[in-house]
Amino acid sequence: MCDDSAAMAPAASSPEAKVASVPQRSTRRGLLSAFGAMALSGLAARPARAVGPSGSAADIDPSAVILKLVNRITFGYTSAEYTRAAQLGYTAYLEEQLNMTAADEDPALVSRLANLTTLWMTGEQLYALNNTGQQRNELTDAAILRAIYSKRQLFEKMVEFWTDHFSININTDQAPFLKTLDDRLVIRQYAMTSFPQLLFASAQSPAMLNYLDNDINTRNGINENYGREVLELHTMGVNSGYTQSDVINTAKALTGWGRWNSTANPSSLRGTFRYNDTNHDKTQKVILGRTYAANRGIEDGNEFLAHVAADPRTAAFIAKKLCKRFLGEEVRQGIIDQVAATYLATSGDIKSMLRVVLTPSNLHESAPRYKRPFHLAVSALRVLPMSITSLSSLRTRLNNAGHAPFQWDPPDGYPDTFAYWSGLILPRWNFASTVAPGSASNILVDTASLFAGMTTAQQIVDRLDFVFFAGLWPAAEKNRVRTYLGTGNPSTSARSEAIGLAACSPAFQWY
Amino acid sequence: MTAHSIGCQEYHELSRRRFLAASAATAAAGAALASPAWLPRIALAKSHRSATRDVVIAIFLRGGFDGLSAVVPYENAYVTARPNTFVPRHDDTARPVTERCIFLDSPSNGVSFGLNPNLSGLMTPYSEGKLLFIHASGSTDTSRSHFDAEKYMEAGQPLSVLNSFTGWLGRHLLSVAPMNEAALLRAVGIAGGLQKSLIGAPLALPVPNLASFGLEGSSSTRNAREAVLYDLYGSITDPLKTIGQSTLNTIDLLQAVGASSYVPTVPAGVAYPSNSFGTALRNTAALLKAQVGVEAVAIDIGGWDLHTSLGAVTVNGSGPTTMQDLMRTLGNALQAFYVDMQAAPSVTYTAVAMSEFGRRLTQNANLGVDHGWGDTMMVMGSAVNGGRVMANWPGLGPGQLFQNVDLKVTIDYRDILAEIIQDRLGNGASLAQIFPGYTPINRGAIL
Repeated sequence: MCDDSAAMAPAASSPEAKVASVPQRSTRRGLLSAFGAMALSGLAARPARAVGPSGSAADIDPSAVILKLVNRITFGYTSAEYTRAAQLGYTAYLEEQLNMTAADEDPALVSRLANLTTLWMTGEQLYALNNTGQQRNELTDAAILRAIYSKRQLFEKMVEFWTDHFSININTDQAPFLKTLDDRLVIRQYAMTSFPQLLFASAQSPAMLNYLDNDINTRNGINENYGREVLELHTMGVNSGYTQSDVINTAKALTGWGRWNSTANPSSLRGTFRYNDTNHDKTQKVILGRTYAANRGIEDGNEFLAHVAADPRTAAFIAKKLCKRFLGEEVRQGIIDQVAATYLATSGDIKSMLRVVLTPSNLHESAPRYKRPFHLAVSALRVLPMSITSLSSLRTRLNNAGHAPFQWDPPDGYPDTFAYWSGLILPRWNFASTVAPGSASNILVDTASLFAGMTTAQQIVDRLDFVFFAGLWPAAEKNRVRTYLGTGNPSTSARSEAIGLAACSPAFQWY
Repeated sequence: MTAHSIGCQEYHELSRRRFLAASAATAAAGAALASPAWLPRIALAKSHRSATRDVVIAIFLRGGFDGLSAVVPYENAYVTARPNTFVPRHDDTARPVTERCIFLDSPSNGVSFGLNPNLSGLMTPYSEGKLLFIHASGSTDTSRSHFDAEKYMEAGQPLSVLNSFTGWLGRHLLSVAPMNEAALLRAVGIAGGLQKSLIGAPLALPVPNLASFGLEGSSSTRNAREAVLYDLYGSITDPLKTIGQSTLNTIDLLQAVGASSYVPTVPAGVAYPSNSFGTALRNTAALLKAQVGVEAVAIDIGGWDLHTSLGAVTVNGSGPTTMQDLMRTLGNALQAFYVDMQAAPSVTYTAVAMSEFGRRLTQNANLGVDHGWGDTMMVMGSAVNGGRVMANWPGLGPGQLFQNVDLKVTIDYRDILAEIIQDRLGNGASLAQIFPGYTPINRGAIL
């Protein structure tokens, strides 16, 4: 007789359930509920528990929820980030993150990125350089470096979110040349502005128009690829009520929206948006019940985008996706509705929506989230004293883990669900077992400074507990790693391996 | 798979992992691992075998395999279209015999076919009737895009269902009871990431190299660190517990299979090529012979996208990238696998090789061939109705080509896969789920 009742224990019997019912103040358990470590309670398997939006504020441990905020709006807790947030307080820290500009960026990161020359090139320069490998690597490295070092962590999280939302596989057709432009001029330019601005910029992004075949969508040969995806993936969402006729007419409205190719003259046009009126379908169109008169040009597309961006179904779709990213796969409909209402009241203002998503009570009630491989890698590197000479091995490992930036093939963006990522655990461990402890030749972890003056296993695991887990490493995990280190003064290699084991440990997989 | 069976598996495996951890330091444990004596210890009693089914080996020839250079149609239009790159007929006495086709078959419609001499290894299974070529076959995707065409073939269903992408093998495995209910691993993708064909399969893992699947870092501490991870994941109660521990069990399983020390049963003159494809098939033989319940293996061999320089038709070509070298790898590896597996006749398999599309009939200005459509598939196994070329040959002449340039597809690849699933994988009842919206035609590929 096999008994798996322990693994499938009902929610009510877990320690976490007690946290929900008993107000806690600054206790270890209270803090635990703020950190991914609580996943050990089995919460990840359940929907978020039902804590009502009203009357719960008094139950929320302020330091716990600040820690949770740090975990959710950054690429990983660091003690410095947490200290900053605790000093400012919840609201001021969130506002700081919402309002940071490029001028606030870490100067060392800025100068490092300046060396990645293709990041800053025009389409003309990128086509002239004709080195797609360099472009892809530099764009990938920039994403990694920004996630590790940027002070604008919430901005970078939103860049990641919109990169997934308006996903373009950098390995397709012209994307090796054009994704760099899309990243700089669309995603990063509008990540914290408003959704309609972002949608409009994406609809005129040569990379997107090429990736989804709108650059061959003409009045003589309708290609409905982009027209369909702009409804299904970018705005209203699948099964939201549009019809096949809406898809075809959307495609017709966007005929002629394309790009100047690699041989265009003057050369300054190369890789830029091109509206070619001779390819535009001049017939009358009806989309989502609205009539677009015959014999018009680019305004067909412009008006369609404005119209669909203002549709309540778009507001609902974007609200739900934002909530899922920051609050978990199961979010109360009431929260989603509030965010959607904010979208409609502010014309899709992204900061306004984030303020509604990221309230203390919403974070308090949200379930732990499982880190995707990129997040895992970056969150480990963020807490370690280390220097990077090259990111090539990390790029390879992200590839092996199935999460190389900009390389998701279909246009729906990398998934963000536990079900999708949880099977690929060995590549995560192997990242943690090699790159994190610095045994990869081009990422050097300064183990000596990390463990300076320490001579016992207990000191080593206490240090790892502080650095990786804010002092909340579950005892069973921490003790097992301490046992691994033995009774004497742990060797240098054992210390490195302990770093790897901490990054491999179940608690570090969640945030 | 139910939570119940996970629990069972964990229970049995827990003792094994503890045994391993406790004795890893001793030489005796190492010796036990290296020998087949491990088999009784793993919870895989033969009596649990619920069905005798073939293991399916899905080989994907990535990049667009040139079926016209592999299984050469004896048509003048072929020679005319490829004046510098055609493979001569077997009876073309103007050329050295080693550079001519090996005669294969004259199907009833009158066109004969010859085999590229670099694929001569395939004559071993072919002459024994265990290998079948299916010409002018492929998918209905006419995009000539690698991405779309591969995706479509591996999905086995229309691509409009983006949010629930699964592969044809994934849906097959999901809809059929495990061949061995205690299996730790039902499917392996020999790749860095799981092949799309396997997405959705229960107990499927991507394993880049079956001989070295394990925790990286110092080999001297590997077992001890794996034991720590086993305990770390054992200390939690969320779903990661099962995933973490079954990954470690798979590491153990593959170590126990011992592919790195596997000695193939092949005579002199037959050998697995010492490259990634040869190694993948060699390790697959080790895995199959160990009978640990693996039901599907996906293997890739890339490099077929030869827009330039097909290479001279010679059996002594140089350079690793010409088509002739790739074909030698393909033919010799399948030959070695076929012979090797004959030593274990109770382990039956069906191997199927296919590509996203064939190549353009006419060679281009760079002596290569651009993306085309119709192609050649291959099926090999004990129950294959082989030793022949199956074709509804559409012809290569004027008016016979797709869009006037490409060999047409006259046999849908799903017909062949469906027959394998029905006759050799015991899952005919699920064909409507595996190939939704398609009614396969029985082509007689299986005896």
